[in-house]
Amino acid sequence: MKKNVKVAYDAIKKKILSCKYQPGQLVSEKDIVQKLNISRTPVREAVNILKGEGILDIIPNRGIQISSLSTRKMKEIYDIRMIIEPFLVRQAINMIKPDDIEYLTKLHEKLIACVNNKEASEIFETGMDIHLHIAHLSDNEVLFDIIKMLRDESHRGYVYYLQSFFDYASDEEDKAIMEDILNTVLDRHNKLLKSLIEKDEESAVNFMIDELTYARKLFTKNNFL
Amino acid sequence: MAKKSNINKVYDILKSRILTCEYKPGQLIFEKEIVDELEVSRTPVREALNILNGEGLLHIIPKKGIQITSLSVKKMKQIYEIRKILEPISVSQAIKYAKNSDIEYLSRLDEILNSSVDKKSIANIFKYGMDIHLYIASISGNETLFNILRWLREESYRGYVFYLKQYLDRSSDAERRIVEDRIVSNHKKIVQALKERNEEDANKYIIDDLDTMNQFIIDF
Repeated sequence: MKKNVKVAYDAIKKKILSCKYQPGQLVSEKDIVQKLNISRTPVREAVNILKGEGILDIIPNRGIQISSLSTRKMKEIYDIRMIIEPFLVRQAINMIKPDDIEYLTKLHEKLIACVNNKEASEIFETGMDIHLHIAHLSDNEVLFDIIKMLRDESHRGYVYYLQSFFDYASDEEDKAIMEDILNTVLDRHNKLLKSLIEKDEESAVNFMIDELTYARKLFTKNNFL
Repeated sequence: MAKKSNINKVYDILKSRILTCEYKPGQLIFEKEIVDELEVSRTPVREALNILNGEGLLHIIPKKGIQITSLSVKKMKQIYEIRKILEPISVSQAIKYAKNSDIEYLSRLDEILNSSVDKKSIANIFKYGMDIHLYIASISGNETLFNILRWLREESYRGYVFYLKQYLDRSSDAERRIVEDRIVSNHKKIVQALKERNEEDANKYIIDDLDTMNQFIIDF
């Protein structure tokens, strides 16, 4: 990718994934050109690549439409991850070296910080970094690519869900539910990490399944996507 | 920008040559040769090459030429392992949702597979065999699963064709016959099991088929 295409691509993608551009929203090319201060050609090229990735659509004479989200897709993604990731854990667990433990621990600390700051996109990215590192350790390049694809496909859905919680949790009850969700996410990752460090394969597999089952449930309870 | 139809034409021709291993893994090809042979200008050829580069099917080496990406046995084995995890789920779901018209369509695909074996076209044997697997994934109703399997097909197409061809080239006519019969009969049994809504059999034959294909993927 040429340098300014890459700049435009990264900037637009970030806005879409973090839901700064909302699902279903119409955006004009002119608007993007002005905001990014990059000329039309690279912006157009970046938009075409993103269209290929399925996160936006180009509607002639109207503009660029950010793809909408579906709970069904989110559930599918978690269903597949639940099948693949236990397999990855089993492959990865014997490959873990002190460096990896250090790295995973750092990621977990970062996850705690993101949760405390209520940064939806960062929470998702950091959590996924933990899963991706496990995939990386499994030394299965194809599965690593699949997890990356699934990450990109579920990024927006996850952020949209969490962000709307952050934005609209007004009463005490909502806030308590939100805290509970965040604590559970942290707790599951923490247990997963511990069993990886202790090389306790069965526990690690179980916590992985637990964690993904919990995440999947979040999307079945809510129909707002 | 070059005319879209010309880019598509060049892209289709080159991709088909790579996938069917007419351009061998690792082979060097040259832009000028393609331009002369296909009688198109340089721009559409270059754009088509860029797309194929993006798909990982070739690398452009400045001042040297274009190298067809080589194959990796390790990667083929990984794809096989993943298909073995995902396809039983795809089949089990498909059995729940398959309509009679789906079964009819699968039977047709199975007939096409049969006739491609008669014509001894290895690329087609893989393509039509995989069409059956993908159609099953599409009936499963899990779009994400379907997309993953489709991507795996793209990633493994060349590999399967290459290794199957190598194997069949080394085999006697009788051995060749046995392999072809197995590929055909595995798919026939998969379709039959779906027709009977027999989940256990369908799973068994899917795994049999994947194991059959896997045995060809070996280092030389």
